[in-house]
Amino acid sequence: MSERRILIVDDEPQMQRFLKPALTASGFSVASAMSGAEALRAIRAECPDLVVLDLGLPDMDGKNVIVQTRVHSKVPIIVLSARDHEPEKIAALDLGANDYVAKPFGIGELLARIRVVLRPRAPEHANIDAIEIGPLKIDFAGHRASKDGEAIPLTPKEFEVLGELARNAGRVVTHRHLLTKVWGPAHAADTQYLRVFIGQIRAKIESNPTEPRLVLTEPGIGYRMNDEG
Amino acid sequence: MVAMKDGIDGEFLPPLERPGWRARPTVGGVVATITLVAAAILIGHGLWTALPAAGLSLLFIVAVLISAISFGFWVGLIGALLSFLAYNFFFVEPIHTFSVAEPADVLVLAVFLIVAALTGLLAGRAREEADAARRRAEMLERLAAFSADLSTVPRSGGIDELIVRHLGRIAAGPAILLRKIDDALAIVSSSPDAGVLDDNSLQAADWVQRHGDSIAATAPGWHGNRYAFFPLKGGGGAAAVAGAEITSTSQIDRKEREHAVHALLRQAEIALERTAFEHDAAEARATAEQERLRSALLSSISHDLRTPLATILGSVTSLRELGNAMPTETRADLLLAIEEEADRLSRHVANLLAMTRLEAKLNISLHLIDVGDAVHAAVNRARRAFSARSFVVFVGPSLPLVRGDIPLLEQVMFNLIDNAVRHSPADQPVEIAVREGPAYIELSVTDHGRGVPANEQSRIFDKFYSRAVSGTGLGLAICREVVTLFGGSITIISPLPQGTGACFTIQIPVPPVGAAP
Repeated sequence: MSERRILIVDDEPQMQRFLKPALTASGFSVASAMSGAEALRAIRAECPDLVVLDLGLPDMDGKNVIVQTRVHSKVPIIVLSARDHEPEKIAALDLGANDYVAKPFGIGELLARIRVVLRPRAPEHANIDAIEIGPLKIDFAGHRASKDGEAIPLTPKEFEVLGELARNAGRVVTHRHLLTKVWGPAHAADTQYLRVFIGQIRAKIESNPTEPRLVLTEPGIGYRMNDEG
Repeated sequence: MVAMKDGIDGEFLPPLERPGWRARPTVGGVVATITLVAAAILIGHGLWTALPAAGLSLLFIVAVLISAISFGFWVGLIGALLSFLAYNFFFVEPIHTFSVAEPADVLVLAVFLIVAALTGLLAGRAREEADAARRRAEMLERLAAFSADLSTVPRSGGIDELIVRHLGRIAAGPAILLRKIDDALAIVSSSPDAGVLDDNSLQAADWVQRHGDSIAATAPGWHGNRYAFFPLKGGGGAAAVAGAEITSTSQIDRKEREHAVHALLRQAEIALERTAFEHDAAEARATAEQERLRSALLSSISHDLRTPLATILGSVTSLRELGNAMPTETRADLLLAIEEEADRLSRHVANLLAMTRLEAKLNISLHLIDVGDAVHAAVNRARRAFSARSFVVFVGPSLPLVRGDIPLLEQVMFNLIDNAVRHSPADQPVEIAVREGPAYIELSVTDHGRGVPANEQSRIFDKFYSRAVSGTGLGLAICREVVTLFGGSITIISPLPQGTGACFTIQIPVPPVGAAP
């Protein structure tokens, strides 16, 4: 497999200074852009395999870069954002970013996100029979889920929520995405509703529902199915 | 004008009439008129032989004129009747009787009476109108004086006292101003002759406050109340009540004073409203400014602390997890990045701490310090932080001590040097000098960079104003705050005479010898 190319978009030279050697050492080929305009040019011209995008850019809002990129490209985008800027992260994800990492972060966290995002995602309506994540097995054909071989009694809605998380294993799934997918656009804001469902699912699949290890909460943003054991 | 209502208020505040000219005759006026007529008789006797009898009547006309001008129409008319009788008695044949012999003399007497009456009427009216005009001019003058005083009253207060002072002048009696404080009316200002308010007056004032209508001193139901009370709206806070004991020479005078009082209170209301608006606006501005600073501080902390932290954490984890896969130079560069960012963090934290100390006035006690100590400490710090740069330092010999704080002054000098380093080319030295002036010590930091454009020079000392991407906008703001705290000043000259560069100059006053430390 040829080297995957990653474009780092960050106006802070110091961030570029460690991201570049770290990603290079991890086996990627790295290009960098210091502004939104430069990033958009590079995405068009060099077709990177992945974009690491800082949302705070000097010339334009990072979200704008996502919007303009999504017009013509499905290149995975991982957003770097301050930990306390939830609305910004949600907006970025809703606009088409694939995942986010909150600053400051350890390089391992970013590499894990990069790996998940670069992994080919199960196509929407593909005929996958089942997905296995750790002890979980989700049988789409039979609408059944089991843990360690034991069947888990799930309601149809619970199964749909779990299925959507499993299809996106390792990736963050926003509240809005889950609600729209399972209940329809009219319920896109019913976060409380979702919280109850997730609680019920955790009670059925987690060994210790108060310390979930399979369905993780991304505070204020959504949920993430843990695919790293 | 304050709206005047019918009903209970109507009886003590009638609408303003044209000034009357029919002043009631006074005893003094009548006595004076009798004297005048007597004088006319005596003079007439003296001139009896020199003047024709008809000409003598002019003397009496003069007497009527004088009495009408001096005492008004009615007295003038009395004068005219007296003159008519006296002229008939003393000068018309047969003399010393009221009978008239010649038919022509009857005509002369009739004309005399008419002329005397008309003269008295016109003169009396002219006099009373002149009086009214004078009184009105006087009231207007007092209102104008109030206006002028109002326009200069400081925003902080003093308006209550001003209202009372002018109210007293217009009412020609004691005046007071009451305001609702903690659910009870309390006197906030009163003229020296106001004395204590009795219960009836207080109740009347309270009624005015609650109903928003005025009450006259003579209003029925408020027995014993000497004051006329008027509601005073505006001023944002609780409504106020103004009271005045109006003393007047006549009914007309009283009415005019009441009207002037209303005009004055209306002006006062407008002024109170204006002050309230100004107060609100100032408060809103202050809140907005505080809000702006708070959010600027938050974003400054968020960005300026987080970026170095992100670099440090990222570099450290990269070295630990991927160090084996990196060439030696890359590892060295990451270590250097960590060191640099840690320095940046520590500088920023130092500035944030200094700013917090300044804002909270925490642990700041000024004492006599040697400026040179702070400058050397700052230069040493700068040499460590910017090891590639050269610094030219001049510190004058045996400098006097100034009142200050060494750590804060060191931070100031370091910030100025840091600023100079960031805004000038790497091959240019930064010059630091400390000299003694006539009554101050002058510290300067000079760089040979691009300089600061004239339109930015006034803003660079503002909090969170930054010209550089990496600047926090705190450094120079701290400089100004600290220097101001020391009683000194900070200025910038840019460009320097050679066309580029900038020179920041601080002057700190040297306390006079023997001053308390």
